[in-house]
Amino acid sequence: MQQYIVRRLLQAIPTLFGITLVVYFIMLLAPGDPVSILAFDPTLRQDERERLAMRLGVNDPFFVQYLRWLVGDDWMMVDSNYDGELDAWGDNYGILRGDFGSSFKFRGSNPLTLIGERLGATIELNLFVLVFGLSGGLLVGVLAAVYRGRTFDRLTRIFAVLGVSVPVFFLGYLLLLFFGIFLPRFLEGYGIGTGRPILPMGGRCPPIRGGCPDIVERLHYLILPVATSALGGIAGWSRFMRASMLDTINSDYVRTAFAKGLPTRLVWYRHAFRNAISPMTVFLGPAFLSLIGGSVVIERIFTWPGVGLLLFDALLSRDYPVIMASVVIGSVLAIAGLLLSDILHALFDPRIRY
Amino acid sequence: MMRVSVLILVVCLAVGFPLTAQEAEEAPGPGLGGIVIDGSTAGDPATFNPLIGGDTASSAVYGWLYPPIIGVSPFTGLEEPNLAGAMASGWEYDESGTVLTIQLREDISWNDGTPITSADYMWSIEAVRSGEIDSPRAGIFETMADGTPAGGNIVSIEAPDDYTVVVTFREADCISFSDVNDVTPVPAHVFSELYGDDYGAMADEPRRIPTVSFGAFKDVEFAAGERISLLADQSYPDTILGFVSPSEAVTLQVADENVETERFIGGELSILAVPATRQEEFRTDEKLLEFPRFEFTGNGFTFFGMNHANPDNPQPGFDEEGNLIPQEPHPVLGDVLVRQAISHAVDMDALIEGIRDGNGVKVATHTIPTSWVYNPELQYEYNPDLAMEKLTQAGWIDHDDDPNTARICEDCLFAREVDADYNGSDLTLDLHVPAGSEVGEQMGLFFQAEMNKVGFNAIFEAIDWGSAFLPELTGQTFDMNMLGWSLGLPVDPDISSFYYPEVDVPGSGFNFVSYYNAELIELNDQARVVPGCDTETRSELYGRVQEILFNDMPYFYMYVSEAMTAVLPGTRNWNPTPYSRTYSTDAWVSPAVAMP
Repeated sequence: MQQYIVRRLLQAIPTLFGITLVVYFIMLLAPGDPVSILAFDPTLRQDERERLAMRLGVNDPFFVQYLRWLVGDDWMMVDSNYDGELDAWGDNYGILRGDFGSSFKFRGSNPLTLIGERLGATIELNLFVLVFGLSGGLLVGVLAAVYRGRTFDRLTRIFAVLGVSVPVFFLGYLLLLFFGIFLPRFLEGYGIGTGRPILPMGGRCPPIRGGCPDIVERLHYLILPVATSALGGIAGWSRFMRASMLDTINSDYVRTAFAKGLPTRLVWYRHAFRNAISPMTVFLGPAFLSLIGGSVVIERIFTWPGVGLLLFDALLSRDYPVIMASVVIGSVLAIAGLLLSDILHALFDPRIRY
Repeated sequence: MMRVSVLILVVCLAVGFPLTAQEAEEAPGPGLGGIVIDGSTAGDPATFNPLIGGDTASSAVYGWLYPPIIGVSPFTGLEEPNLAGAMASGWEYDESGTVLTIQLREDISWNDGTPITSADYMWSIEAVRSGEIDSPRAGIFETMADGTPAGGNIVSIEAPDDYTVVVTFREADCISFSDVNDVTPVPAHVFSELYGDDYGAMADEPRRIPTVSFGAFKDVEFAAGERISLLADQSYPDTILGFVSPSEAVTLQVADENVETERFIGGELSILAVPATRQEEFRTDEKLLEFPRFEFTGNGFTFFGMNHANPDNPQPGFDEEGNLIPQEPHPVLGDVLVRQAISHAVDMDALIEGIRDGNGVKVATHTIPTSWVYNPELQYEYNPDLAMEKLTQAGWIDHDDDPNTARICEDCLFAREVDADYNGSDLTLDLHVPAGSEVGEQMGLFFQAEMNKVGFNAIFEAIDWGSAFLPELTGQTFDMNMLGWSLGLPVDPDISSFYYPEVDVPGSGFNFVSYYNAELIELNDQARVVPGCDTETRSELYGRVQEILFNDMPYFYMYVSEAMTAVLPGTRNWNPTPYSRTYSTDAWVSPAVAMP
């Protein structure tokens, strides 16, 4: 196993390198450039715009830009005062030496700092989404298998199709309007409540000073984003779990258990369930690591101050260093997630050997 | 629009005492007026340091904390002396118009008790001019400290004493007065202690929380991606009531204007700039009528830019030696008759009534109704017959007697001057608007329909702002693109940023329509150096400028929005003006916001 892990880690290096190269290329190839967006100001003169482009280094050819990002520019002469002359050594070290550069939009802030200050919010949201999505999905999946062909099973199938196919931005806005506007107004019409939103319409904490209160005091801020985001998870997980349960239930040892006269409930929930859940571990690795990945759409709709919202802003403003930092972190997590899946799979299934 | 944003904030904060203590309703007392919560879609501020900032979100924060040297009145939209929150008590030019002496108020101090003097302004000036910081404002100077040309008009800024600043300009120029305000004074005693003369060190900590400030609010608390909170500063001397009424001012990030509107209606925000699409609802919905609102003519205009040059061959206005480059005309829009035909083809009254619910005032030049040079008599005439006549004159012939099919070129301008093979080509144009605005898309479709009625083959498309609209706009590869300019304060009719050949630069310049008119430039140059910047003389010159723009039509000037701002029911001492909706914030008594 150790050899396998080492081999996978070594394979990850060119994979990661390839991802950054392709993403950097696509990013630069995409129409629009940071200077046009950051300096869309008619009062700025042309030379000021050119100076900004030089400062950001976006006028350089693709490979120069990529090299500067990867290995830094302290080995090459740069134009430090933007007068067209190469007059000083660069001062960037590149990501290989831990320097992720400086954000274009946020005036020199380190992209890792920007990501770091939002990481807590993203982990918090995605942890709840994972817990609710997973537990809800497993429960619905098992029950759908147990009651296969019956009304509950059919309802869960409809629910799964809806859950997977309804876009989260649509569902998010729908829930936002329902709990923020329509329901409070409806209730107010019957003399119930004040017409103010029943659930917060965005944010992570009440807008008061002193930082976020303890999570127990602000669980209601999580309800709408978690419900919106977890729905797809419940739908997806439930279908996997149902299929896995049905596979298991048709296996010989389950038939034997029934033949031995074991109670149905015991067979389903102790024998079948424990074996059916094993294949699900394949998805667990990436799922756990998606905790850090951020959810761009959900965070945007609910103004959840996480990494996804930062990435969304970075994409709009062509903030290359922040985009690339997100890509590197995301790629590392994806590779680690797949590796973790393989390891978990081997741990749960003794038949698997690497 | 960095400077625009900054100036708007200056107005919000640096105002006089128009709402006097007598006029204001009673407030419960210092810090007892509730929390004021405003929404923002601008994202996180890049910095709290005004010397390196420039984005809207940043200036919204440091605008509360640092005074401008010259204030702009919320009632006139013009610079005035002795305004609350600003430093200048008066100013005068010398006879040449190149030396400006500014007198500073002697009665104001930072909130740690240190007097605010010219030294504070000079520290900022030296920092920006050093070239060690990436200040977006360095371009106001003629040269940087090391002699590198910076291209601006300010030769020097000196402080002969603690309360006098002398600015010397390279040449008399009425629009350079605003440059003085581009650099915000900071508490020199704090900044010099932190950074000494290593100005570049400021870039290492862009989000350093300011500890000393001058304004109605202080003590920034920042939660990334979420909110910025400021506490009332009861030591601020320029309050309306003699104290700061709200306890706190919070800027809350919101996803977009739709979510912002719903959160406001839900009581989670204190104030809202009501989107045009929702204004009618606020005028008619029984529930929403409870919200006090203020309607005013906005400070910007929407237009269709009409590319004068061939989009297949974009060229800069000048060559490297500074000689004018004659540009190949746009195959369709290069002819002024065609541009004028479009102005007669589109019923702007119908557009404003039908699509914008009556929200908008038609304009036909670059000036807006609140401007001191606005000429209401210049209006496009809706007359489809005249439009068709002009197209025929321009060599675009209705070959099948069906106005609904595209006309064809028969000795049109492009065929005459560039390529005879162009004869027989369709009168085809692309109309692009940025995607994401339903109203914008409806207006684009309306233009398409109106133009096609007189013989165009206009093809409308809504395209992504960052990846498609902006590149083709600045790259000058478009035909007609719809855009809006938000004007700064004070509003000046100068046109050098938009219609001079210097700014006709494919890829970045703002004369993206490649418009050139020598008489227009001559008139504008004259208007910029009028002795004493006399508004009457300048008005005459800009009167002619407007006539030229009206006839030449670099843009199809469309309308100025009617803006609407609303606050929560029960808000007191909210006295908005067309130039500022929030100047009286320090006197507000704001009802409790909803916190579910």
